[in-house]
Amino acid sequence: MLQLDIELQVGDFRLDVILEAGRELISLFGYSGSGKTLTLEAIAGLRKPDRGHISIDGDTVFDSAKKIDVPAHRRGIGYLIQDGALFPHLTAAQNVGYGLGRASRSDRDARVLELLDLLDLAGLGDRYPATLSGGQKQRVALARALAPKPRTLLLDEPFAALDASIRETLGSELLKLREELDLTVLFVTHQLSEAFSLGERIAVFDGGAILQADSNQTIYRSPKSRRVALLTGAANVLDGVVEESSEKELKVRTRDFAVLTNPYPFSKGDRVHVCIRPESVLLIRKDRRPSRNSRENNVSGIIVNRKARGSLYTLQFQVDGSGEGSDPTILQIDLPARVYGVMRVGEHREWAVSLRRDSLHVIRAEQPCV
Amino acid sequence: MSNGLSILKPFGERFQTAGPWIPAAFLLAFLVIPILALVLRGAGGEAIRTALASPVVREALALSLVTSLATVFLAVSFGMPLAYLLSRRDFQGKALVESMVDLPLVLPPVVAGVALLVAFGRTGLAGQLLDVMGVRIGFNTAAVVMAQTFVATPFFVRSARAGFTSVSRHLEDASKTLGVSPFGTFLRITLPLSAPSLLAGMAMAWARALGEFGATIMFAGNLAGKTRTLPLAILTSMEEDLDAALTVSLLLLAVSFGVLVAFHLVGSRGGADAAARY
Repeated sequence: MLQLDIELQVGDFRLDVILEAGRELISLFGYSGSGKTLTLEAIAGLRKPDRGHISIDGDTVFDSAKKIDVPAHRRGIGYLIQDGALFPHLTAAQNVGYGLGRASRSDRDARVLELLDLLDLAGLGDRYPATLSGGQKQRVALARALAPKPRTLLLDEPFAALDASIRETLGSELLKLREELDLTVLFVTHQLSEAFSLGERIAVFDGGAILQADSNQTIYRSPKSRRVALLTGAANVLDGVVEESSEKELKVRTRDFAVLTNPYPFSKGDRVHVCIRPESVLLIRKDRRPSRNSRENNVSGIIVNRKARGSLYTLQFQVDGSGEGSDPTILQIDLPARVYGVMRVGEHREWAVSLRRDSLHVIRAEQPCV
Repeated sequence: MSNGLSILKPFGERFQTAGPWIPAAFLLAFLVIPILALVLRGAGGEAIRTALASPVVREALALSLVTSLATVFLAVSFGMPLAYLLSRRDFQGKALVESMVDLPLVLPPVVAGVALLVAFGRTGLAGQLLDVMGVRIGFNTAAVVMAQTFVATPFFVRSARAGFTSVSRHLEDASKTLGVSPFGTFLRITLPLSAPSLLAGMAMAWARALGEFGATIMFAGNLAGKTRTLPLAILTSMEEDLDAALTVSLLLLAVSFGVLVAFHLVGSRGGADAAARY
């Protein structure tokens, strides 16, 4: 259990973060420079906040009002960064045992073996970091961080420097470890897919603050603001005005077309944003009658750009009659490569889309803030 | 282009390949010939043995060893904390502190000697106070150590500072989050990882202290058995016993050469360590 509410000024950058985490893995997601690392450093005791409060499992480790500031080496937190920071002059086993200073020699050796085993490093104990692969180094670093049995683990882009396949393996191992050892894990990443695949909850960082911290389903389906929607991959955000609002549905007029959405507590005239994720836009052929589930909110247009991205195609769909060519409305569509082939998307230019009600998320337009 | 240029071109190319070798060879010869001459003139087996047996040389050798090792000890004890501060902390006036540390590197040693004299001599700024307390510095062995420390310590501080800076802050952070105190972290992480630079700095400071002449003769004088170190012994014996002067010079040359070799060995090992790190 971790609670923090801190403020910290570094040069021009201002960090102001409130966060609570239970025994769970929570992803701290955001661009680099959004304050994720600074937050971890403050929790670990490597950087002192200007103001605020941090408690770990009920113990206050920092409180500016009460002048409490427990130094890093007495906070009992596991901390792991991107390059692992293995001690180059110590073997893998010595690295893992480094934090076990107070244990007896035999206890220490047993614990080191146990951890090397746990992280699939058996037999590598005598190797120096320079002779280990990137994945092995991060395993050693993780074993080292876990050795003193911390209840809180802070991971700062721990897998960023690794190959995709190794990253995935280590990710699922981490989830297993978290559950087995019942840890609170804060996982910093700037990769959306990693944030979603590992985090039971996601805290979205931007400009030194957390914009939203929710379960990943909530972040995915109902981002709280336009900024969160854009940051978490809802690339299509349209400005609109509520035309009708009833208990059954909401009608929103955007610049080029009107859409019907599920009901939201807005009233006529409210300014809103309508969000739809690129993978939720349904592409339909114009020469066929739309099937029942693609009849909602049909919009026609042309595909102006297509980009192959491995298993996905990303299409730019320009809404007919929008913007007179100068500022057209473009919807981004992500389509599985298989569907792209079956539908022969490459052979036609003119298409229609269906923006299904269940895929549309409506949020109140913020006051313009600069 | 024109024909004239195409004729010139081969010469130009040849000059570009051979050109740098000519002045380089002159410089090398200029550097090597004196050393060679010293070795050839001084390296008579019998002469060395007699010179080493002479009490004047022995006295100077013992004094040089004691004072230069004391200097290294002082440079390490006081220079290491300063080097650590300079590499890890930001504080007001850091740039000024840095130039104060570097100043003795470019200051003529004679000037350093005069400065020490007017500061710690019996009538000097701090010397008067010390005199009242019954402490007299100047023209004794303590003054030799002070002169050497003044001149040699910056070599250690610079090298140690570079060594500390080369140790990533992330390693120290990792150590602290593993429950090891800042001082423990320094002993177990920072110190071993910067050891090559520290040793190199000690070697340079020692070599500099061993060869110290100008500041010593100004501040400590040339008193046999008390302040006459090896370089001063060379000056003294030049007048009466050239063989002894040559032998002592050879001795210092051998030491300097040894330090240089050790420096390169440690340096290349340090480099390999750093390369192997990631």
